[in-house]
Formats: sequence, structure tokens, C-alpha cells
Amino acid sequence: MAVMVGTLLSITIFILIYLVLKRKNERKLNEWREQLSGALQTAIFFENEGSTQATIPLTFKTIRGLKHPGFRQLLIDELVLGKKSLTGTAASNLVLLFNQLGLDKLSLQKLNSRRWHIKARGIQELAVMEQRQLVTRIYRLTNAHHELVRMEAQSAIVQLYGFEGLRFLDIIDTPISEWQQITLLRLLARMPGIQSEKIANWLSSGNDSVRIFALKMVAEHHLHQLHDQVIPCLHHPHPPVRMQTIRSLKEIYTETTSNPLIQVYSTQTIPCRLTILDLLGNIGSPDNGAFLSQQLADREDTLKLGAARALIQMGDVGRQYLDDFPLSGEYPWNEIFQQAKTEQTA
Amino acid sequence: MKILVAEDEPILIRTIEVRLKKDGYELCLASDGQQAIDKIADFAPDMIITDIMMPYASGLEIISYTRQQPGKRTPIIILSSMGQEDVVLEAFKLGADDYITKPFSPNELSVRVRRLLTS
Repeated sequence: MAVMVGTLLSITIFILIYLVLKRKNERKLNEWREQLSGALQTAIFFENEGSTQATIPLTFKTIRGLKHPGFRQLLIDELVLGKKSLTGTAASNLVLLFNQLGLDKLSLQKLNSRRWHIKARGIQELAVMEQRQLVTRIYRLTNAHHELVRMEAQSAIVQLYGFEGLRFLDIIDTPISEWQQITLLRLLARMPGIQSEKIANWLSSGNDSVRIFALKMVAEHHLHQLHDQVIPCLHHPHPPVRMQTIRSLKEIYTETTSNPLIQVYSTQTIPCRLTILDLLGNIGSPDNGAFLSQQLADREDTLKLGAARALIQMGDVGRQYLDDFPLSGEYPWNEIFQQAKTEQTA
Repeated sequence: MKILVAEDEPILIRTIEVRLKKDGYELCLASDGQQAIDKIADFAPDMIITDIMMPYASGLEIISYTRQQPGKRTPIIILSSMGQEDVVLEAFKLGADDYITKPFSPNELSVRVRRLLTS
């Protein structure tokens, strides 16, 4: 009984101490936030009148607070948040304050941490606060062992240098995840300076994910001039590369695209074949009618449907192929053709 | 002129407050959507600036609520993030008058507010 009471008492005391400390901590944080809010607003609306040596005035209390590591980190967090939400002079002034207080050193220290999340945080802080002079330190991490550190470093380099920053694609031997590819494409969408010669080189990269990413850039930026360099990727041994090749060709096809597609058709996986049929439908050339008509006899119903859809996309000539198909009145062709026709009119 | 600002990012709401107060507007601040809706009737703003993604009620709900109120038509500016084009279109359908994409410049916001209030 006494042991139980003692345990309960200890737990209660522990909870009380924890709550008191937590409350004290929260109060301190709020106090710091309040203090920093003033400093940040002074920075955001600071007018330096063209001076390169401008210094943002800070209160004594803020300067004193900077001695505390927690206060400095909170300031970095607020600066990063502000920099992400603001543009123009306001954003430049936040960078000015970051530099003025030497906070880059604190962010840089994080890159030496053994913990990946601290490293990633440091990279993000340096990128958002436009610390271009530290690019070599960040660049080294674009091929880091930890995936999230690598992703953060790659995004940071692109954020700082745009398309030029993609030079890490020349050296990385690790895969770029689907998500990272989306992130990089999104960052690049807002930046000028796409260089098709560089993308052409990455189309023959030994790293499949680099090749896929290059193919995505071809599609995203409609790089018609790379059509002939994209075609050989149809013969790549890995289906994901071939699939992305077909998808990219959909954005840059010419009248010569059909032949290589038809040549490789029989060696492709079913999803790749379906995408080829879809692309042939988009191309819409009557010359492909005979090939598509042959595919109506495929054992796979999905491919029959794909071929029927492509023929319908071709217009009257394609519809004629459907009508002339010897089994058009029999199951399952009658239903497949009907579905393809209904989809077209919907 | 009275402006109601609904934004959940403290640094942004404070920046908007400082900038617009400098321009001489009377401000009412709300850090979430529900707070903003609750304040509309009492404060009777001449303009509303609202973020889209907020806790408790979104910017779209604020627009819907405002447009359902009888009386004068209050101009509404929405603050959206990049990649929220669909939501911006939805906001315009509901009756928003202008939008600013984050990140934005406080000076740009000031100009937009003035233009909308004088038009």
C-alpha cells in the first residue's frame, strides 16, 4: 500500500514539475516571439536608401537575447518563415538581418551534425536565406547517403541557381525519387534558362532516375528539338524509362514518331503498349490505321480497347477500320467498340 | 476605412497590420477563419483580406459567408499560395475581387488595397 502511494506521489510530483517547466518554457517562447516580432517588423520595413553598408537597428533587449541559442534559433525560424512569405525589399531586408547577425554560421554548423534532420534543416535555412557563398558545402550533400538530406540539398541548389544547379545530375549515383522529381520540376517551372544540350546529355545517363527526370523535363518544357535523342530511350532495358519515354513523346511528337513506336510495340509491357496506342491515337495519322486494326485482335481486352480508342481518335478513317473489323459484331468486340465510341461522344 | 485581415501566419498578419496601419486604415485581425466570420458582423469592414487555408474555417467559407450577407458588397482580396490556382478560381466564383500570391510584397498589397477601395 505504502509503495503504491509512494509511486502515485512520485508520478504526481513528476507531472507537476513537467507542467511547471513546460509552462515556463512556453511563457519564455511567447516572450521571445513578442520581442522578435518587433525586430522582424523593423527589418521588413527598413529603408536602407541604397547604402550597401546598411545596418538594421535592433533593440538592446534583442541583442542581449541573441546570446541564448534558443532565441537565435527562433529568430532563424521566423526569418525563414518570413522570407518564404514575402518578396521585394521586405524579403531582402530579412536576408540582410540574417547576414548582419551572422546567423549563417549557425545554419552552417548544422551541416556538420550527425543527425540527418538537423542537417536537412540547416540546408533549408541556407537556401531560403540565399547564402550562395556556401554553395560548395551544400553541393557536396547532393549525393549524400541519407535520402532526405540529399533531397534537401538538391532542392536548395536548384533554388539558389535554377537550371544551372542541376549539374549534380552529372555525378549522382543514387536514385532521384518520384517525389523529388516533382519538387525539382516545380522549382524549375518558375525559373528561366532551360538548356536543352544539358538535358540531351542526361538522356543517356547511366542513372535511370536521371534519365527519367530528363525525359520529364523534355515533356514539361516541350523540347521538340530533343525528339531524335528521346527515341533511343524506347529501347532502354527498364520499363519505367520506356514508359516515361512514350509519355514524353506525347508532348513532342512529329510525323516521324509513329514508326519507332510501332517497331518497339511487340517488345513492350502491357502498360507501355497501352500508352503507345494512346499516343498513336493522338498522332492520328491514317497510316497507323492498319497497325491499330491488327491490335484489335490482341488477346488482352485492355489492348483491344486501347486500339479501338486510338482508331476513333483518328476520325472517320479510324471508325471505318472498326466497322470493317471481321469480328466487330461479336462479343467482346461489340461491347469494346461501343464503349470506345461512347467515351468519344461523352 | 476598416479592413478585416484573416491570416494564420503571425509574421504575415503582423506585417500586413504594420503596412496597412501606415496607410491609415483601421484594422481588425483574425488568426483563423471562424474568428474572422465572428468578427464580420460587429466590425462591419469595408474590405476583407483573407488567406485561403486557415484553421476552423477556410477563406472560401469567409467569402461565402460575406456574400450571403445583405447590404453593401464588401470587396475581398484573397492571399493564396503558388499552385492553388483551382482554389483561386473557386474563390472568384464565390465572389472574391482580387488575389495576391504568396510570397508577396507588402507594398504590392498596399497598392492593391488602395486600388480596390477607390474603384
